[in-house]
Amino acid sequence: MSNFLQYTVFGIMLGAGYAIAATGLVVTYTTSGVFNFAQGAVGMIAAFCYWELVVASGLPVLAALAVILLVGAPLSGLVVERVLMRRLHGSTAERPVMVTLGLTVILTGLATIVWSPSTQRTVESMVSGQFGLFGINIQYQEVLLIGVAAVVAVALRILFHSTRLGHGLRAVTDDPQLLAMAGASPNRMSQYGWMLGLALAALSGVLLAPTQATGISIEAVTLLVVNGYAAAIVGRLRNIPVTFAAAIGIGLAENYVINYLLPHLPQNLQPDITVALPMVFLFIALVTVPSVRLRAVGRLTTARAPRVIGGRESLVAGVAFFAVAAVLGAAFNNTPFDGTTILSLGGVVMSLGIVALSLVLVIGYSGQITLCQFAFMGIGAFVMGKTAGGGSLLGLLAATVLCAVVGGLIALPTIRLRDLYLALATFAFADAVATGFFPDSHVYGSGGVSIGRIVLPGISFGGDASEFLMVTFFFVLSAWLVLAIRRSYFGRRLVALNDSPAAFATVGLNIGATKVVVFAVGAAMAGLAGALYGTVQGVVGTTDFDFFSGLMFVLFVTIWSVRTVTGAFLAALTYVVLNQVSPNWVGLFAGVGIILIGRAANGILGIEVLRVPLPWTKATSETMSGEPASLLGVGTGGESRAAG
Amino acid sequence: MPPDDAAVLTVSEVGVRFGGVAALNATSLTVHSGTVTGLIGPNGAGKTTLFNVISGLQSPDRGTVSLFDTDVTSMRPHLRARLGLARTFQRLEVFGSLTVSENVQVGLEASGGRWGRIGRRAGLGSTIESLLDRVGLTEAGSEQSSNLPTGLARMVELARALAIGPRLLLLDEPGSGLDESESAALGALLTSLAAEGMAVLLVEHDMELVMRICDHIYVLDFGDIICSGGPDQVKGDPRVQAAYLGDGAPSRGALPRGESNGSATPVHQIPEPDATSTDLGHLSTRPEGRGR
Repeated sequence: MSNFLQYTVFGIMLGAGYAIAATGLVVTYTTSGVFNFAQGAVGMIAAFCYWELVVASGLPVLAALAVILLVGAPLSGLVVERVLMRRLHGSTAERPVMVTLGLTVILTGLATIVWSPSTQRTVESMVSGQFGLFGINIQYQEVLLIGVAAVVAVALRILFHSTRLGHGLRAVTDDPQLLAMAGASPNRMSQYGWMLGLALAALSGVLLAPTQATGISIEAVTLLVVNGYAAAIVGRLRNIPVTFAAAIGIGLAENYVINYLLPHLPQNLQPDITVALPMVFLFIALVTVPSVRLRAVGRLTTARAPRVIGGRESLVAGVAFFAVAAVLGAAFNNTPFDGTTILSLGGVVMSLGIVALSLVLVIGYSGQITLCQFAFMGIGAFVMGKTAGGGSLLGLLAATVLCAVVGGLIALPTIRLRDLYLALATFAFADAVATGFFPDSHVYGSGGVSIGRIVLPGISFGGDASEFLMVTFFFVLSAWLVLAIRRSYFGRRLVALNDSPAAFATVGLNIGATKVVVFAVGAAMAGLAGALYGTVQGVVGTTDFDFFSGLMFVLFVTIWSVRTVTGAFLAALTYVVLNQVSPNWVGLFAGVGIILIGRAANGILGIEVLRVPLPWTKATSETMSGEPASLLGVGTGGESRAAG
Repeated sequence: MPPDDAAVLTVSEVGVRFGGVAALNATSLTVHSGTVTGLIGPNGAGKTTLFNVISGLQSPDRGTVSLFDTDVTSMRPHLRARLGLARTFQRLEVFGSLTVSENVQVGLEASGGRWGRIGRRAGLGSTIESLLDRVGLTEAGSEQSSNLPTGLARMVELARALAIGPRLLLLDEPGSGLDESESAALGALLTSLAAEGMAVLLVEHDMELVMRICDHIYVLDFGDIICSGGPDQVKGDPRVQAAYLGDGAPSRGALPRGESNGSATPVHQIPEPDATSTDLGHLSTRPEGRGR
């Protein structure tokens, strides 16, 4: 009984921490319409800054809190809103997701540089001591956390419902134009929202840090705050009291599961389940979200669509690409480079290129945001290694087919969700697989799995160049396939779904079936890519399909252009090259890239000044992506009004 | 209208509430094949909400919708479309990244059934061309549809709707953004569609057009059908005069503001035709068109 009470108190305390982070998410979402995936990373940075100020520099606790919560976090919110978010109003769903995800990977990357993970950092409770109650010990820190959360909840309630500022903050997502007419600036409101949201993220990070008995780790604190995501979803990203209650519920559920359910499960599964638990909650929360109601939103696609590549052109380009690769393969056969070989790196580029192509299909064409392609890649490589002793064509086939099935199954419960929730579901799946499934001793464990190399009778793929060419062949094949899909009936369907789900359904097309198919095809491609990646690397392990790397890679593709095959290849190339030079360059590229995403709807390749007209390209008269305003100017209605 | 015509659409006692606001109260109407039926009323009357209920984008809190003698109240939108229902939208919903031809092609392919499109491929190009001709977009086939002015984009939606071969066509303000000759052409097109046996339900603010081509008109105000009948009957009804048309003679919805003489009747709150995508033209205190 006293155990139960102890777990309950600890659960409420954890829940209170999640609640603060979750309300921060709700505040940002209601004021700017952006779901801040970086909430966890901001909380993590705040926790490490707190450690830096209090433990390393010996600053008084209150001074450190003031610096972090009243200066650092709001200032960051101001900058983030101004530099990254402001231009994303009314954009397609994937861009804000990519920007905040980019922020997550950049912040975790920076933290790894500044605070080396090898050092142990323990954060003391802000208030020490404990007292006994009903036979259990309650830490003052726990009381503090619960108290702060309660104060935050009440203060936000008053702010939103009883002040003029609060009404403005709530009105901004409902109708920015109406708000602007009422004399308040939507940008100003959104700025306040970001400042407040990041301050709440920081507060939760700082308060949760002392609960990490073995010291704070970058990944653990980031994902700790992610628990708040599930609560925010239960609150439909709007309702603060419901969000709050859900957060407490999640804290309790987590403690009960760990202390009561887990001991009855097999020993080796316990650590996996513990780390995957937040994502399981997130997945459950997403299932509770009511089905999306199709809305006619009247959104106009303003960006110029990338040219549709013809069949002949894609065939010629594919053959030319392969010919260049063959020349390079002959020139650099078995050339060692930096601990590996040039062609081995080339093989990695090609296999990641296939993953990028799957993103073009799923995100670029159909507009469904998927963040779990690296998970499919890892599953594909694993299947490849375990089929027929590894290194067989049968393994390639098995990896492709199995991933298609898993992809379809993942899509099934999520087809009813709208874009942001779908992104969150794939986010949860990716993390659960990367942290809960891959590290299991039956999967990759700590040693990794040997995949084996494909050897075909007659044509040896054991060598360096022949293997590189095989992977290149599959890349070219996938690129051709993606372009062929775009030209096909199914491709038009995907683009139509992306442009207007309401019109899509009302011409008689089935949204759910289309989503399941595109997800399955994308997953199959990622599975194939993983199997090929495995044959290139020989042995692969959990670090190859790391969660944050997966996010970074999606970001790279978005930065180059998620709607073109060229963008996919360049993303894979730059990702591998920059990783080889230094992870810091990867972070720098991502950092510049997320600023760019707000300014160029179709990524780097969509910027008009960079577009080189090819000799066979038909010249078009339009200029760079017309804003809606300029479109309206030429409307016949506009003319008749001008005449009147 | 001829009494032997079967009703293709029967809406009975449909009610929809958004929070505390009733968008529709027990609304009933019937549409027959071979006719153009008008649905008019001031902004926020519930016209678009009713369209959403009929096409399945909004489920009603009560009441039933029946299409071609099938109760479709809980049927998903794409299945209703396959029964022969097509619609256009007040706020543009073209497939903006696709060309004008591709928009129509998606409609054709959607109605071709899973494998039917293969057999039709030979005639596909000419079918698209004839549909584009019909709505006056002959020249625009290869344009990216988001580059078109609003009025023409509405015609893309109309061509796409016709491409699925509908028996019932719902048009939500197709005339806004069109000039006078285009509007006349639209009227002629709708009349000829009805003559071919199609049922058309038309929401339109251009009163002159509505009165000229509609066989039957329903007037919606604050979620209630306040009057229905032939054009002359509706024009003469005092309740309609009070609620909608004001004291003067029926005027064209697309009249420039200067000519409306600043009178405060609701008809003058009609958005400027070109304001569709700026959002400002649709500000209204009632929920219609705001989508929540």
